[in-house]
Amino acid sequence: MDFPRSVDIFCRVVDNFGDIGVCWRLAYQFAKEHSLSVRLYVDDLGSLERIVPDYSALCSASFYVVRWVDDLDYSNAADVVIEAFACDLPPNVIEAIVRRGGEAAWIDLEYLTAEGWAAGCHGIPSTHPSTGLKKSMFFPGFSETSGGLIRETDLFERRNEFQSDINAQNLWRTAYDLPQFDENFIDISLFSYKSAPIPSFFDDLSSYKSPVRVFFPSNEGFCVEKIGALHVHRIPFVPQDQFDYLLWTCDVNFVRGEDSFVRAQFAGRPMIWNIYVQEEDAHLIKLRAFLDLYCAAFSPEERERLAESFKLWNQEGQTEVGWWHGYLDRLPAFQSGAAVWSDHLFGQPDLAHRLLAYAYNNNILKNKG
Amino acid sequence: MKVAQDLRTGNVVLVDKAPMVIQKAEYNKSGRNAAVMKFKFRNLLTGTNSEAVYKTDEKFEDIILETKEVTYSYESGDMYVFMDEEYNQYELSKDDIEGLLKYLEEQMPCDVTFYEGKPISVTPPVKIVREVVYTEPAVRGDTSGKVMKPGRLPTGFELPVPAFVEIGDKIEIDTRTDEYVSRVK
Repeated sequence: MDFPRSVDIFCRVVDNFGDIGVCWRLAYQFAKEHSLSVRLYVDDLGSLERIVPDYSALCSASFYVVRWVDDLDYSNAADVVIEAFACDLPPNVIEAIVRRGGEAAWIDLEYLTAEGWAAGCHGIPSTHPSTGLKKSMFFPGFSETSGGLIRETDLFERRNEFQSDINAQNLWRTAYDLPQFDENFIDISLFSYKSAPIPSFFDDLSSYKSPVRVFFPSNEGFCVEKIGALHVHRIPFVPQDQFDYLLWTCDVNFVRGEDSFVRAQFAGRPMIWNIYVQEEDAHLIKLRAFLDLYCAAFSPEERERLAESFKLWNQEGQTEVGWWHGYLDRLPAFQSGAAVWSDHLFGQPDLAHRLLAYAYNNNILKNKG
Repeated sequence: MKVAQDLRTGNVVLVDKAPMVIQKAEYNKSGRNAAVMKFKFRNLLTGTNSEAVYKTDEKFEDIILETKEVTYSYESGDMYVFMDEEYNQYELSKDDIEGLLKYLEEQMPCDVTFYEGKPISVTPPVKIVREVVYTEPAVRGDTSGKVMKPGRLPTGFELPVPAFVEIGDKIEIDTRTDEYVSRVK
């Protein structure tokens, strides 16, 4: 593939770490695995520093981060310009794309959703009403016809190696002041929004028949609390490149948003998703669409319990007493389904490959007209 | 100028200086309270059809063309016939009114749009009332309107309706977004 050779990614941090988490991961993969020249424009370097503390050290002459300021100096558009999550490119950036005479691909990288309409909107080159340029919305997704999911080429091997090496897991745990692997405990990672029903979840875990350890990244630093069968280990915020290890070493992962949600699926372990709340409960439709796909990887007798657990985790208030006991009782069955789903995802091309192939195959580098 | 979200079937906009009639408009909620519009266009100069997807706040220059109030009369082969107050008949193809088919019923009031004297599209009212001919049984006690389920209209089109809606209920629908608005007593 001759083109593209360069990519610009524009990212506005709306809240939390999802926007920059996705954009950094993609930018780094383009640079590292595809040897592209990459510029990542982001308006909030503090958020990037939080999830990738050593980002400067990972940059190079052909891969760097630019603070996106109001009067951004931008004159030469890359071969592919990615407007992440409808962040609205400034006029001078659009003018620079126009100056490329239609030889730059303008792609709006959208939010991940399993809803059917997204496949119908994915990758349709659409004439921009005022400039005449082609712009395409690129929808990440779980099927062959979607934009796929961001995944590094070596992720499968790295995950399997780590999960089969207890010593490596224990070394990693030591660095985060977490207890060593012990098959008598169920280990759970917990990364959720404040709206998740954590108090009733903890109540349930505290009376479970077996000991349960919850590893809970928070702003409170290291701290351990024991409530009945439940041991809560609060740990500091986990940088993006370490978060996979947390997911890989736990028996169950409670994740949120988009980036950690995707990584938990690739972890091949049972997971529960806390979805970003939207107006008019639009998120519940998105949750149902995902569950329709995800639960099909599980045995019929487990699907209902699994789907209901996802729904309960996304409702505020009290969960039925004992509900999570039933969930943990079914972990072996959930583990099988999670592995099937993970294999299904690993069997597809990743998002970076699909995006570059899209730019090439659709000839949108010569897209005018 | 109009933003994409305010455009609907039958509107004509300029896309890179070409007049395009919107034959179908679909609204979908994306992430973080954003949304996208998918349009099916017909180029009025070349007659070619195309699809396009935009952010809901994308700005378009709209073209005001002659319109007439009509009602839907009948289907004749592949054509759909509309009639104005003076009994003039206007025939449009399935492609021309694709976005309207899900709500189409006899005597439905609409606006037909003309380009160079020829009828090119039909625009439905913004709000219409339709009967729900099938939906799962109503959930007792849930009157919040937050829990949704599919509700089927006489044309077969399904849209999310609140859990309390029952078969035979009449509901008001926003035709721009295909969303339930309220139950009509």
